[in-house]
Amino acid sequence: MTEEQQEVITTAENEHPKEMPKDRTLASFIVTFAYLIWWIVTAFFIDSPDILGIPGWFFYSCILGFGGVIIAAWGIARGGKP
Amino acid sequence: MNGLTLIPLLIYLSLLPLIAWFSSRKREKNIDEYFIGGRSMGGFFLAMTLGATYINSSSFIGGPGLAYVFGLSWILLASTQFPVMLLILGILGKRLTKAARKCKAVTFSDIIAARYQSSFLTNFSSIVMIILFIAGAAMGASGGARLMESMTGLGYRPSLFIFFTILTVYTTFGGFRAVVATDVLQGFTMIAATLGMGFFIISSAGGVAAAMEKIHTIDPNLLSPTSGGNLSPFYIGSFWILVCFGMAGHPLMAVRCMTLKNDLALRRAIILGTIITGTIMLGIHFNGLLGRLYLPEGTLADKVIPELGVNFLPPILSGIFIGGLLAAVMSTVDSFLIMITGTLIKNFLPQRLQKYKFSKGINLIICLFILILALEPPAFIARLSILIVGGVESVFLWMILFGIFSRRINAVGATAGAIGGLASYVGISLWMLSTNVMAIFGVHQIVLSLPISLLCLIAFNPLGKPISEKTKAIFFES
Repeated sequence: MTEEQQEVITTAENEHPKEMPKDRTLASFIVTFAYLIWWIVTAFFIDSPDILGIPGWFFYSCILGFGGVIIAAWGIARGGKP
Repeated sequence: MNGLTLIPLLIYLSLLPLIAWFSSRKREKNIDEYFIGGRSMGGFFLAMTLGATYINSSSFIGGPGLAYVFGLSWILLASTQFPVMLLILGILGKRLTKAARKCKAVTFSDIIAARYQSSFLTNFSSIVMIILFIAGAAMGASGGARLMESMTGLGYRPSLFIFFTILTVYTTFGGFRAVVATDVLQGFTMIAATLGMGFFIISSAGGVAAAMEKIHTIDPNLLSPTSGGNLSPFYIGSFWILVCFGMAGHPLMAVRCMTLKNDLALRRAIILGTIITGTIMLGIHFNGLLGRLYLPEGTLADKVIPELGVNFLPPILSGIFIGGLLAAVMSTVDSFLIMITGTLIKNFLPQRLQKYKFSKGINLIICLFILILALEPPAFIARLSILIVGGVESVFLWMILFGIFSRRINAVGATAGAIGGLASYVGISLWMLSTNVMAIFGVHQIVLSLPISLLCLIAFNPLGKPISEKTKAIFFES
């Protein structure tokens, strides 16, 4: 079923949003906590030389961390495809 | 300020009512439409409205100013919020939309009423929301006017009238749908402002590496994760609770999670919301830090971003940037306005008055009231406004999370949790204000008030009655 077809079906009146796997809730929680751990470890416990002119700790915690969160969000949104 | 600066700003301001009119014409005229946009929000709109509402003047102006003061460590603090949209949408999106459809809820307090079946808890929540959101809207309006005053040279009162009239017009006539539609423009303006300034400021510094090197020569502490020991890791980390985890309990976010059209909308919003919010936050804070290269030593934190926008950008870009600053304020204040009206009408007015036209009238009256407050904001309004994020989270976080995840939690427990959370947050905040300290036990006060709230909830929950079958059917059965 294409996404458009699915959209038409689920927007019918009084129709609830299509059932989503329970794990998406859990996965969102896990990613939020995992990011916090990654953030703590890379910001305060890693001694790394500059990367691309940016201090290493900042590159890992904020820039790579942001990239990681986006990939996780993408994975969670895609993975939940019914 | 010159004419070229004014053009983008005027275009932005005049587009707002137009967009509102365009989005809300030919729609049904009922309160479902007025307060929740007919439960038909698509992914892109949802992502933009969540992001624009979430970002307010303290994260778009105050935070970057502190990045100027404390350096990369304050950007590290801001980066705790990267997963916030994923968290909010991932845990609330599906459940709240489903429950709201089943019990025909149009405001957040309807959800509380349906889940806990307690008029005391519903009224308590509504009063907390109304009072704090009025304070938030009044302080937002006053902050926006002051911003406009400092950047355009108009006086405080003319700025307030222009700025607030536009807000009043589009919220009153367009309702929630106009709030969402204007949030899209406001979100885009903020993105353009952030990226435009970023490119300009980085290229004139000669690239990121060169900029970092210059900042290192100004003060090496600016590049350390603790700002050279000025900020403790615990303090920085405690903001993860305030601006990320706790946001799942903010009614402004939750009410948007009641409006999803379908699962596809949810999935799109998760991805787009995460990218948009994170990009704006990372970018604008980085701009604040790079302000070090252009602004004199000792610029006030709140002045950093406005000064950069007015003095260091070419005219057109500067106009867009000023629009972006106003957008950060307006997109949050408009959500407060419509939420105050909705809460007031659904909870404190008889059923026969809960009508579309009447809602418009009430919204207009509320806007006037807030305008009067904002003319000369009383001191207690400023005091109350520090509770808008942390205080609201302390009241609602556990109420919402347990409300949708646990069928064991009842009205007595939720009420105890809400009162305990509010009392502890207010008490600790007042104590901190009177003794003039920035942190308690080295962390933000939310770290204490949320566990206290949770303890109250768990301790008092056994005294209540189990929830009814009807509630179970609404919240826990598909």
